[in-house]
Amino acid sequence: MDGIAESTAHQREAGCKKDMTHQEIHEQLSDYILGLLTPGQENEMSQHLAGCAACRQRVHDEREIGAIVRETLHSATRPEPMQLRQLMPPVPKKKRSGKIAANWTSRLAPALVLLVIIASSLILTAQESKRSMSIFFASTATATSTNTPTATVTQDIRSNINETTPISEMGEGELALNEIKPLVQVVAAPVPLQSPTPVAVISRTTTN
Amino acid sequence: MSEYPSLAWDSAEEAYPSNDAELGFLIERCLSGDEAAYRILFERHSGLIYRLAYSLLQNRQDAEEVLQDSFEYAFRKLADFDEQKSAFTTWLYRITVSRCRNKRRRKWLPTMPLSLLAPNGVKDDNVKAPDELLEQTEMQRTVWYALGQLSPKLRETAVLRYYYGMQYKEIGEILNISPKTAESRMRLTHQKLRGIIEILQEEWTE
Repeated sequence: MDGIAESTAHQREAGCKKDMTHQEIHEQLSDYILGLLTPGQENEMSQHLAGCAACRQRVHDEREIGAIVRETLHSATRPEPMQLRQLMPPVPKKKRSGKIAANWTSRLAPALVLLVIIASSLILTAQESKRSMSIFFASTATATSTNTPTATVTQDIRSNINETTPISEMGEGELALNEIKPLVQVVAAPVPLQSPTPVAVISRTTTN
Repeated sequence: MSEYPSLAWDSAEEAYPSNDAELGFLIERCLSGDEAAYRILFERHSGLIYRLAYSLLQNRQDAEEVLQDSFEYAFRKLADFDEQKSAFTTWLYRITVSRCRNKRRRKWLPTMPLSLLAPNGVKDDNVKAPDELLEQTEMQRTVWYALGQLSPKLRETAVLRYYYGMQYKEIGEILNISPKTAESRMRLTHQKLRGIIEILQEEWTE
């Protein structure tokens, strides 16, 4: 605020001439009325205003701008009686507990479906495993369909295995895969006209 | 010393906002589904919000739409209001300013001021003085027009500072800018407004 002090001295000598220093004071006057000065600056400005009628007039003019804006807005934007009440938007519906429960159910639904699928898969796998074991140790399993085209594959699984040889007496490599020679026979079946999808049926037979 | 006095509402439509404790209780009642509480909340703040929207948009119909939109959003998001972060009115003002900006953006193309197309003397028909201003002084009509000539950002600052008497920190919170930026904008606003008013007074007295 050296400028203010300097200007104050200048004003006393030259009667508030609008030199550069005084222009700066005027700029600070705007800040003063806008509340942009620090408390220290504000204090100095107050002291300056006490001794400078021109700056006091300027402060008055600056404040007039704010005052007239305020008056203008206040009178221009005044709502009419009852005008605003009609503009109240609808009150939002409160969420009820039942709705919350429904939301939770809907969120859990995919998880429940997934759980059912996994459980079904496990049951089917267990059943399939049990059936495979029975096929292996039993004799023949044949699946047929009445109105579907069939191709019968006969696979000789145990032809090269000496069933009389105990497993403990088998030599190393005796059960190598290349020693199991499947015999495949494809039997053509008549194709019915109404058959939508061909189905292959695998028939396993045990031969000696 | 430099603070503008608080607003003196002269209409029963514009009651003073309640104190924090009372307001907190009112909000709790709203959240519990009390429709009467919503009505009280609306009636206590609708005047402030309508005036803010009208001042920023200078169009009565737009202001009414913004008022409805703002309260519809505020009611729906009332549970999200955090009194630790801001005052309720600050929260409402922020919602309103945001909606005013959206409204202005949507209307920008069809309502581009003619003065931008023909800068020599064609007045902007979109910034019409409201009917109420017909009863006001010529100075007030001049100021209303001058406010319309400010950029939207500066108009926001002018309204919040001159009319609502807010501190720069709160202006910054509402406009999502720093207090220093709010101060700079206000300095610029004051200078521009002073200049526009002086020019308009000269032109209109010729």
